[in-house]
Amino acid sequence: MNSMSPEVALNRISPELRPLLCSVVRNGRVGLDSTNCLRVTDLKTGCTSLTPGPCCDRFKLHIPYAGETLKWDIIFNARDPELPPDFIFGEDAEFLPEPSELPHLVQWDAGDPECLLQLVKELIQQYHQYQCQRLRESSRLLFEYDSLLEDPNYSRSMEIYAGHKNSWTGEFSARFLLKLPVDFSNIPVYLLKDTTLDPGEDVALLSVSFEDAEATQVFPKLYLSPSIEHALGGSSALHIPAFPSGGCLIDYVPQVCQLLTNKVQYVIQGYHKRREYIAAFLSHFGMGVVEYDAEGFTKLTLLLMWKDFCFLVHVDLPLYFPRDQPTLTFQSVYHFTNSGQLYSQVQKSYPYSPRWDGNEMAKRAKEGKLILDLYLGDALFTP
Amino acid sequence: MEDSNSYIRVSGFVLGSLMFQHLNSDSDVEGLILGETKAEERSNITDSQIDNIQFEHTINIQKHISCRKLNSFYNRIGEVNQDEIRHILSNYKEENVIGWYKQRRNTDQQITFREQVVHENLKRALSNHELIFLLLTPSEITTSGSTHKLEYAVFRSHGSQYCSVPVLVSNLGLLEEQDYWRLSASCSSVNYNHAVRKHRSKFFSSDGSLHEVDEINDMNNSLQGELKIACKKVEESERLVEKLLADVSDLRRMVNDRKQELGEISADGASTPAQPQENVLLCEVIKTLFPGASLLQTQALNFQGFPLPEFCCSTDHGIDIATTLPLILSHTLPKARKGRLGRGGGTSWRKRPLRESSEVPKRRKGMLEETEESLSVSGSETEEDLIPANQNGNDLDVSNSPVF
Repeated sequence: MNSMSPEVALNRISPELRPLLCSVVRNGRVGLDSTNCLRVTDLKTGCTSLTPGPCCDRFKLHIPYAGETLKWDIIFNARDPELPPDFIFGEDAEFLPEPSELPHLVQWDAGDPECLLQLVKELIQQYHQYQCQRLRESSRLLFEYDSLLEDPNYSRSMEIYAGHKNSWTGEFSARFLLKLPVDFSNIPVYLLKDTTLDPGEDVALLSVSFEDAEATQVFPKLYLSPSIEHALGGSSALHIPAFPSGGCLIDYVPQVCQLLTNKVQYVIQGYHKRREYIAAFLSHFGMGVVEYDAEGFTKLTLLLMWKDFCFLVHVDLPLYFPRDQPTLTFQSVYHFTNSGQLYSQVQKSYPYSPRWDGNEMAKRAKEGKLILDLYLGDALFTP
Repeated sequence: MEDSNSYIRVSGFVLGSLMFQHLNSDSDVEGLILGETKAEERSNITDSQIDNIQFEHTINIQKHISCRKLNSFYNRIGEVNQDEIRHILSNYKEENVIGWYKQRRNTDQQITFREQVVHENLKRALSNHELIFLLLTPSEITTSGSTHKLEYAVFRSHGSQYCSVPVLVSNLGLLEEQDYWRLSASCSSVNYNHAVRKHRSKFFSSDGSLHEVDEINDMNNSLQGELKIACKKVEESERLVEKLLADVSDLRRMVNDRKQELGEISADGASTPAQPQENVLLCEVIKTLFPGASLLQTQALNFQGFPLPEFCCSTDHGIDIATTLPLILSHTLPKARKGRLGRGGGTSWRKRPLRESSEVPKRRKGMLEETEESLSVSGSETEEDLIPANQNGNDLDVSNSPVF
């Protein structure tokens, strides 16, 4: 399989078909997993080898669906670009959609750049119906599907891939991919911006693989879009529970949803709490504030003086503040270590309660008791 | 056991012309295929199986008609336009359409979504459930374009699945035909059909069968009739024989029963076992004709086969030969009889020595004359009197036995 970049594919395609392919490779996001665009490979031509290029008019389209990648052949004719394309549905030779229920095929408009992409989406919908029909080979899995179908939270956001029945073992497997109805809109923007790639839509997908028809081997997996994963603290930040033996999806999925929602709430709450904390310290230490993180409110630096002795205090607020205690770093403005760095020391154990609000924390700090005790009480703070 | 096989037969030049016409096309091409379908049922009898029926379904591709452009007889969603099909066929009939074909360059050897829809709609439009789809997929093998390959396959639908049907290409030298052709070669040439139709009546009867076959069938029917008649006759004679055998068995049973009854009766009444009965008539005749020949009158022989005179019958049975067996006496010597009758009725013979056979008639005559005078019963002859000449060296004289 010769994978190619969108630009290469667009350069080789026949000029008359280029607009159709452009919308597919640049804007083509279908299905639940819309983090990546559709991919094009195996670009070939229906013309003779003596025909000068670019004249490619047939290719393989890779479509993510329910954790699988469908490889469909799309066949145009460069000499008749106005004709609608034909399709070969890869290994799904039995999939035969109803052509009259494909509006963009019935009303094919070669001049509409979005026509091919819309047609592919309509085919995916019919493919989904075809896969749901195949679930009838297992009553257990059909029950799972029907129960999810009744819940409006999941019925419209579900992709199912029913594997082919193993003729030797008789085993039948299936995979459910569900888009979890979790609200990520309140996640602070700064958390979502810090990614190198285009984050795309914020989405959380739960994939549940049934390796056998009786649901004795079930493997769930949670997929988060890159921005959400970063906002929640990385791939290791969230661990979903194992699928309970004898359980069913209609009970398990809401459980995962709640877990993810709680996590998001923690993150949102932490942001607000940090902002409150910083605001309180700004108000109490107004002249002593050197700098602070005005977006994420994760850092605050204070310049304090006690009896003509000045020192810096760096406050690091963790992601799950106030559950997690802030870290205080004392730094000298006079003395260096042997390595040439300003002498500093980190303090994590000090009187703290997550139930204190930001004002209370700032007040206790301003009264000098907290920092002074830390400063004076520490024998290591010597040049 | 029934077995079903389907084949596609296409001659080399038909397939070659189709490929040659489209191989250099600058886009995909499609068209209709004309031909005919034949079904044959063969029953093979082998040592292991009595009945093995094979159904052979052969589809002969005879001609192709290419469409000038794609999607000419169907629309975007595969609905077939029958008027357009008729226009493409022009002078050919729809019944001759056995399928359609498509050439797709650089694609997989797999039927596409629209081709499946078109195929199903075409089957309904032409009312032909055996419609075939010929797919040709040329492609380059080498990146330099020096070598190309053209794959082809014929598909036929079974429900929602499409199966590949074996294709047999008949070239000039048929390698797979090892036995006689069971079906005639199909030909769509108009001139050929005209010539065949002109002379057909000489070979075929009105119902399509060969004349000779009809005649042989008639002869076979006649033979069968004759065989039936012969069988009937055999049956009747067999039944008669059976009846006669039954009658013989009954009679034998009756005889045995009678014998048993007689045996029981004799066992009850007589103490002595039954004696063999004497032929009294023969005894009296010999006594009359050979009165002195005791050797002739004896009924016993020794182990060497010589008669024993001591066992002669001396009983007078009281039978008058002259009245009981008059012919015996009439066939004896007539003069002698007259003489004998004239001299008291008694007859006597004088023993004469035996002479050579050539002298027998004369001597016999002489003997007859001599015996006219007197014939007397001789005494008991000895064996030597009757010993043949070849044993005792004497010449044989003529016997005294009567000549009939």
